[in-house]
Amino acid sequence: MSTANTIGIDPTALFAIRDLELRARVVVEGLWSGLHRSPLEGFSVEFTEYRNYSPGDDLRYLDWKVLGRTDQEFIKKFEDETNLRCMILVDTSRSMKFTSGETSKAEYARTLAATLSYFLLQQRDVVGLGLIDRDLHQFLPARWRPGQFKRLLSLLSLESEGKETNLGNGLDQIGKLTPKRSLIIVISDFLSLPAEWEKSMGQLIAAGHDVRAIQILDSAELDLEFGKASQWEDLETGEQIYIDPNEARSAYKASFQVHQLKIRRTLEMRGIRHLIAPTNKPLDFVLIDLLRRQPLKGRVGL
Amino acid sequence: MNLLSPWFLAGLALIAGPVIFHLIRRANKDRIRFSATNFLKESPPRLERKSRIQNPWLMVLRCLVVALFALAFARPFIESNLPVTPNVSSPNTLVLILDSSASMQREGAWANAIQQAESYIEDLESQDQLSIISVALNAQLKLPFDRWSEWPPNERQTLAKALLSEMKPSWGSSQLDDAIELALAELEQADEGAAVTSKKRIVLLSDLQKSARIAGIAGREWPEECQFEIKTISGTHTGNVGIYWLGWTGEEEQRKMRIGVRGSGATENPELELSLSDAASGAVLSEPTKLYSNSGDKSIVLLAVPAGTEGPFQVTLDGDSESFDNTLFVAEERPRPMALHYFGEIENADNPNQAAFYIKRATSGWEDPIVSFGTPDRVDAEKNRSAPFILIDSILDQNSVAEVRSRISEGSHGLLLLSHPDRIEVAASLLGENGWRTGTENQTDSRLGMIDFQHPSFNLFADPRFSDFSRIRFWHAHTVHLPEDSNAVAIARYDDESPAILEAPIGTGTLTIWVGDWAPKYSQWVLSTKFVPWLQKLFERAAGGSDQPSVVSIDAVYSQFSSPTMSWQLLNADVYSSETPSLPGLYRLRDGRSDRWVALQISSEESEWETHAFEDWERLGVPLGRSSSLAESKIPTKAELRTQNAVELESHQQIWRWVIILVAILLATESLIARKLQNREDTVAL
Repeated sequence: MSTANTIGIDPTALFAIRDLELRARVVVEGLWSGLHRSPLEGFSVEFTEYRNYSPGDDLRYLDWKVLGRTDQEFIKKFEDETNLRCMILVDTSRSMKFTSGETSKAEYARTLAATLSYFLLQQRDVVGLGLIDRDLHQFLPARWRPGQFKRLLSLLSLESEGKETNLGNGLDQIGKLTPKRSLIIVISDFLSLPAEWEKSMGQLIAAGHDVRAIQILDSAELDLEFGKASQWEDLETGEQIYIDPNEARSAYKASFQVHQLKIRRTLEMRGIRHLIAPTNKPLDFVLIDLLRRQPLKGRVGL
Repeated sequence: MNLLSPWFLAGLALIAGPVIFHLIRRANKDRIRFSATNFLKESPPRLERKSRIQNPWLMVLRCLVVALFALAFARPFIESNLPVTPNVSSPNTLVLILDSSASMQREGAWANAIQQAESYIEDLESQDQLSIISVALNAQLKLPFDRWSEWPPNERQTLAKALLSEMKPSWGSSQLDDAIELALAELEQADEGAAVTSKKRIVLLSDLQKSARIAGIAGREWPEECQFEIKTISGTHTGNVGIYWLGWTGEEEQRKMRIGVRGSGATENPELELSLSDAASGAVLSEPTKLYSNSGDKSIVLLAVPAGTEGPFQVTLDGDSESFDNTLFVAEERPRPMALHYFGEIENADNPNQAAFYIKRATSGWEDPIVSFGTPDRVDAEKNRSAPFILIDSILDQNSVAEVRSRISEGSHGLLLLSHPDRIEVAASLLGENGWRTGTENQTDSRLGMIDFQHPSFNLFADPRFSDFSRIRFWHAHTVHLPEDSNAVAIARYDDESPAILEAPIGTGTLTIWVGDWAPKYSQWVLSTKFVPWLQKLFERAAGGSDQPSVVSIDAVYSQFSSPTMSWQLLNADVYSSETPSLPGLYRLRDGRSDRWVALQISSEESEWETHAFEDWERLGVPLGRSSSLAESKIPTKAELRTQNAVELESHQQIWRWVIILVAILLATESLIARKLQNREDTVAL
């Protein structure tokens, strides 16, 4: 795969672009140029074989080139002629505002959502969006129509009201609002306990949805190489405790790993793909990771 | 180091600001916000002695900025050994300008002005100089510096006060700019001969009426260290209602006077009465007219004049608190009749080839003078003598020449048309001169080549717009040669330099001789646009000058009635006087043949009490002084001298500028450090 020159855009350079739409285009256009020479599969409509024309077939699918060369009438057959229906859920709670560098998790998450949407809309797939904090506070149904991407961007550009997280509520509500089987991509830091949302995830799977979880984490959340001995305030609860990071680091790492294991297990048990995206990871790599994996179930080729 | 304004050091208390600020900031900024504290275990607090103050150096820098600011405001200076200003005060040169215009006639104003002037005089020391100027229509130097210096020093104040007591307000408008010019000229003159530079001061004591002229001092360069001080003089009453003449209206039998009424200031009694009476007899001619006038109101009252009354009239305003402008005198406009006696064939007056034809038509319809065209009465010689204008368009016999000459010498004006060479003898005889002769006849095209535009007959054409006579052509001009000692003066010549119009005095009258023929086939003169204005001027001169109004402002008397032949007689006075009057009232004006009533009024603007704003003076570049008394420039005490010395040293050293520069540098450093610290904290905090 010769994608080295075209993908792997430095997040610092990418997030220097103020316009969200342009950011998404930069990532996706770079990715497309790499995909032409890669064995990666895309979503949705895939050509599979030819068959002989029989009266009544749609002439749009007649291969005119073959007809011109061989005087034979062949119809191109596609594996799936329906479009992918995708719903992207973005966590906009207070904890997503954290950053130890220049890019917050919220900024990273909304750029990732915009990029994914643009990628899918380019393929004429239908994309919707939901913003979650303690419940689903913004919702854009999955559609393919002119201006959908702009609407999506305008929702993503909304300033977060800074409420606490309740992922379970949001997932319940999205389940009610999405009756058709869809690909549901949940973008969150998943810092809340799995017990708060595992039931809701299970209900989505049971409803036939293909759910993917992208966990956005700051590097400081992974290794606690951050801060100084001081009063630390929790972004979600406002609770303050005195922390010396040097002393607290090892215990934190252990505790966080346990949390991560719980999440992975909870998700895998339900057949949900879990993808970790640190905020310093190039966005197109995250997208490639999404594309590279084989689906666990369902028809869509992600 | 000393301080000029040490009380500004109280600002040092503001140093507490940065200290408190730094203490408060620490509490707020010492928190780190994190997203996953639920995975953290609280660390035991470390026991270390740490200052509560965050960034102490930055705080010191900020405190220093505040302290230096306070120091800069306190105006520091370094005491040097400069000698204290010697204890000698320079002399004062004071010019007092007293506004003596008509508006100062208001009750209490003049006494107030004199009192103020006296207080200034009392402040003067023996080495000081004083000059007094009074100003109304003209600025008059009442007391020059020389005269003040000549007086014995111990009597100067008494004599100056005595001079003030002799002064009275006049009835004219005030030309304050003339007085200020005169004061400046006086100061310059006083400075020339002085050994020591004096403090110059001009003090204007005036009611500062808006109508007072001050525009003349615009752009005037003022001498250095010259102060101009204005003392506004007010009267007893706060408001005034003035009346002024607007003219006549209505037909002959129902004539009405148009009287303007204007209130200014805070009018004390708005209910007034306007009455009309005969000025000579004092008889009341109509019922009083009630009117209502408030501050700023302008109204016009029509006063009906009973038919058959000829005036002069007196209009009186009753009820107004200020009485100086409540009487208005009115004299009727009387047209001047003028008989023109024509020596020539009377039939010629209807012949378009004759000059009389054009004179008769040009003069008909004039409102002043009203010309009646006729031939001299062969019977009534006395009646003939009353005719002021004589037109001679024929050859006169000896008797006629003698009669005409005698009448001109008594004041009449003669016009001799020298249309034929054989009339030259008439001219010579009328002037009583020998040696008049005619030259060659000039049949060719000729024009007026030289005109004396200074002459009263031609000065109305002096403007370049009207001075072009080159389009008027003459074809039948003959030359006239005058004897060398002739009294006749050429006021216009043809382009061959031969005289065209001659004028010669005969007794108290004048003879004008026109050389040439006015018939249209010989000249374009009578058909030109210049002819009628020229003729009008000639007749006005014969009637005693331009038409003059019979109701005149005192201000305009000198410009409109300037003839030395005029004499004036005040109503009810016994004798005529050649002196131009300066009091308002009714006068009998005699000038030559005319004798008529003229009413003199004070200017209507003198009744208005609106004043010049302070800004008006500033706009004119007047160096307005703030002090109101000379006492301030008296010899200072030791403490005052020390203060003066300190001010001088401080203004010389200007240490505060360096302190401010230092503050600017410290502020820049503070900004840089604060920004760096902020960036560091931001990366740590969130």
